[in-house]
Amino acid sequence: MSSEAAAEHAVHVHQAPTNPIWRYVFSTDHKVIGIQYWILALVSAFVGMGLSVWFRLHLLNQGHVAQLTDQLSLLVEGSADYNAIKAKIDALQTAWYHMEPSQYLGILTMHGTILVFMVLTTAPMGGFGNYFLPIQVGALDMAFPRLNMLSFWLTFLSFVTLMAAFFVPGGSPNAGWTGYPPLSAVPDSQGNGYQGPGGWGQDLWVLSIAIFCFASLVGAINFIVTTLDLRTKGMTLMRMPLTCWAWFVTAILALLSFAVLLVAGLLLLLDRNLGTSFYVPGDLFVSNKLLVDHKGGSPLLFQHLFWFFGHPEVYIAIVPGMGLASHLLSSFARKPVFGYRAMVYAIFGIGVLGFFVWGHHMFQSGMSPYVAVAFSVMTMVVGVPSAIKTFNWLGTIWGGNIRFQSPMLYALGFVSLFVTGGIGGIFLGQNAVDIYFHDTYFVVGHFHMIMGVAAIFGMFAGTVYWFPKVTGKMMNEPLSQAHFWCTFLGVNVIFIVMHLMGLEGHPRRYSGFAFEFLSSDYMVRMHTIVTHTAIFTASAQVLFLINLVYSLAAGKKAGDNPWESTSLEWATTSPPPFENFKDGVLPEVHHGPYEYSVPDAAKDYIMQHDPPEARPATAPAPH
Amino acid sequence: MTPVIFVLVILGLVVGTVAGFALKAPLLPDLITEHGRIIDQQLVLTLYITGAIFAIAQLGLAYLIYKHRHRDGVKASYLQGSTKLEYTWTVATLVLFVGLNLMGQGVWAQMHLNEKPARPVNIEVTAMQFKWIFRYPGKDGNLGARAAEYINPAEGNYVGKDPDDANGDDDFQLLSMSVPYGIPVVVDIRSIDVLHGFAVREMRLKQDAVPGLSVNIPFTVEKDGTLEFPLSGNYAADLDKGELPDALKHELNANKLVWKDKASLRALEPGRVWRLTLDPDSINRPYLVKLENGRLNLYRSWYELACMELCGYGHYQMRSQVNVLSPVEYAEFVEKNSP
Ligand code: HEM
Ligand SMILES: [Cu+2]
Repeated sequence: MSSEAAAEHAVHVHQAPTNPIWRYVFSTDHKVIGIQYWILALVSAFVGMGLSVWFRLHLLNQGHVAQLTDQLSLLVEGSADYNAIKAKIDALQTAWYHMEPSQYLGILTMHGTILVFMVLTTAPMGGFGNYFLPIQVGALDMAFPRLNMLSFWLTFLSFVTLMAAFFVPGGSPNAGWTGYPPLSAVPDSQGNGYQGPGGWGQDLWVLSIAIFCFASLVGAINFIVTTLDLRTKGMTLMRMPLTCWAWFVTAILALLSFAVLLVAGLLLLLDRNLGTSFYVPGDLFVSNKLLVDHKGGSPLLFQHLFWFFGHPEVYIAIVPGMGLASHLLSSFARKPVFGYRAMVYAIFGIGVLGFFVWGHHMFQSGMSPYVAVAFSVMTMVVGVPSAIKTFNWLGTIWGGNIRFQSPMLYALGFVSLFVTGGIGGIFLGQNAVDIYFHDTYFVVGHFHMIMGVAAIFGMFAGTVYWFPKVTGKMMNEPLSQAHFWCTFLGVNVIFIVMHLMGLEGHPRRYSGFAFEFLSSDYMVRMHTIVTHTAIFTASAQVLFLINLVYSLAAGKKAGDNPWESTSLEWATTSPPPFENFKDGVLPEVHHGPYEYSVPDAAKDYIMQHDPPEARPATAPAPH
Repeated sequence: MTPVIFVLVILGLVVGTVAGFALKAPLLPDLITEHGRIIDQQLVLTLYITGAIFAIAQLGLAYLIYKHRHRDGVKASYLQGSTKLEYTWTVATLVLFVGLNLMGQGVWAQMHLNEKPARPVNIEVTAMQFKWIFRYPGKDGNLGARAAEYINPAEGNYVGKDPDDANGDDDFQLLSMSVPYGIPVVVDIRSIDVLHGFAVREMRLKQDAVPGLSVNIPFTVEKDGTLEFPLSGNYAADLDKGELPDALKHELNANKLVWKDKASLRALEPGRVWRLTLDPDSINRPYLVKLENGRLNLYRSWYELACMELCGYGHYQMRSQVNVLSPVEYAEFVEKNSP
């Protein structure tokens, strides 16, 4: 279908429903669905963050317990000093935030799963992508509005299923967000002295992820078709904003990777409940007996399937942020994106190469050490497009005229965090060096920096940048800036310190410190810094919440194009009408997406739908 | 104002991070294996290179932010890119990243790909929730066969040792690992339940234990201990007599050496090197006292072995210990423990 025919077709079927249930709840309008995804992500982010503050408090406590226990062993049992220290330990162990080991792992698993799936995968794509992809390419809606609705409500079901895992007998699953079998596959192996056998929690976890995969697949198809088929007249591929390119590549990644995770999850469910042996090898000795009903499974098979998804997944989380960062740096530096084509190729390079490096999560897993060499070299190669993007971001602000409004602050923060986080990758990508760092806090620092925080800065940037478009009101600038500085400082301290702890060899996923090297003064000091900074940073998020609520209620009225940006969402009203553009008439595109400071032009920016004459003939040819 | 704050914050970030790494002393835990030296070299080289990249990129960002801050009347340049620059930095990073990576492949090959050393000390490492079991081949140097069907908790036979295999008659198993220095060792790492991870920081060794797999890793310990602290008194005469003087006990306690007031002592080289084992019955922590340049130094020769792959609620306490012995002591250790 040509884009014109598609547009005409869409106009006829596209009418706002009058019943509020269809309009605002079970809506097929991509804008409503985008907001729904965004709210889901926001709620999840606060739940996930709350859990992390809780276990950070617990960990700090355990550091003190470990040090006091050391002191205890030097004292005579029953002496006054001994009793005093003993009392202190007991007090710490009964603090409200103290966790039993199994509970700790449950909360940790839920934290990781909620944030990776419900936040990092939903907001950048389902949230911003849903709302703005159709508008930026000049369409009335997504290609398949009903599928779009299905994909949100499946995601919501997945969220509810995951939350239910908190409340079932046996408690939350405790195999980590990576859910490696046999621990996740053999209920008896999760059996423990604290909560009874690991049960429904793990089942719900798998189920939730399977539903999530299905939802993502449906969503991905929608994004791909919309990008390819529904672009308005004049919107050639090479005139798409980099945000659209990013969503497009992300959708392809999601399509190819979630399909695999779906299968991996279903097989795990079968192993758990129907006695199959995809992942469970024979002759396991768990809970003091030999498991005779499993034979021939491979724990490594799951790891391969999981990371075949998992590595692309980390790009699913970050690539939309990369697209947005490029978009904002250009817009607020009032300069074209440096190397637009290189940026497009780099995104594709990351997308393609990203499928060949999953084994770098498995260097020490027992997989073939020959394969590890290949994965290692490929991993370093995929670092190249990431570096290219960074160079181009710096190139974009070079020679600019930077406006320091909050979206730009978050975008600049994104670049800085991306650099810091990427550097950890250069260590971990080398199989030999990874021998030392694998499964330490160094890895935790690396991926939080880059996938956690950088991606979340992308979301903050998207929120302040597009809030005026979605609500018609500006967010409060001083509040946004205060939030930016607190968060930027806080996360840097937290996650760089974690790199240092990794350098000291601190293992991941420990609920207490039974080791001498973990109760050293250095480690406990680092734990203290991390926990205190985490509390500070988490508290700073209240600024963001207040800002949202306050701006929604009393924000300054936004015009159609408050940032003087060029892409099509700024060509319509704030908020856009149901049909996205006035009377459903699609704009025609005549210009590239980043025509800022064009020599001899009347204004310092030319919008994509401005008439061809807006660009003086004397100006250099666009990229 | 904002660009200035930005510059200051990034400056703080760079200085703070570099200081955090530079001032961390020691940078890494003590190193006791031969292959570990190459890993450390590679790690430190990567640290220098990436440290430079980090500083240049962040400071460059700060510079650009300040230099190109908005000023009235200034117009941004209409610069759309530079193909030459794109090629330059693409090739440069490719060469740098891949080159760096290839430099590290030698030590990987040594550990994983090359032929295993001839006639090493073999030790079987069995991981289970939540402990480590080490089986030694005894004097014959051969481990007895194993199979899951022989697992018998009542007899403590978790590794599944075949009672009918004569090779296993002199095998013995312990909950901590002792290795000789200077002689190649091959550990055979396995698990009987879920995934575990074998890791000793000081050995720069890490390998998952996977049920159904058995992974062999060679290593050679090349140090007999890690300097703990110099002793202030001269206890040589007492030590030679096999006596632990009270003053030394106080000194150990003052340095937070946690032990239950039980120690064994012998002279490995009378007048020069003594083996001091604290808590010989329970935790068995071996130290060395060495006379060096007229001073006595205390060396620790035990290292903590941690589980590094999530294995259930007891993951954090799945602790064991590696004791480093002299070849002579190791021979005695085998002799003493063989049934
Ligand atoms: C310069 C490019 C990068 C390289 C070379 C790299 C390399 C690695 C390697 C080798 C690991 C595994 C370490 C281990 O478990 O021992 C790892 C972990 C991880 N990386 Fe990266 N990475 C890069 C960029 C990224 C990006 C852009 C993201 C996400 C946006 C990311 C997210 C993660 C995550 C989530 C993990 C940990 C997963 C887990 O074990 O739970 N990385 N990285
Ligand atoms: Cu990866």
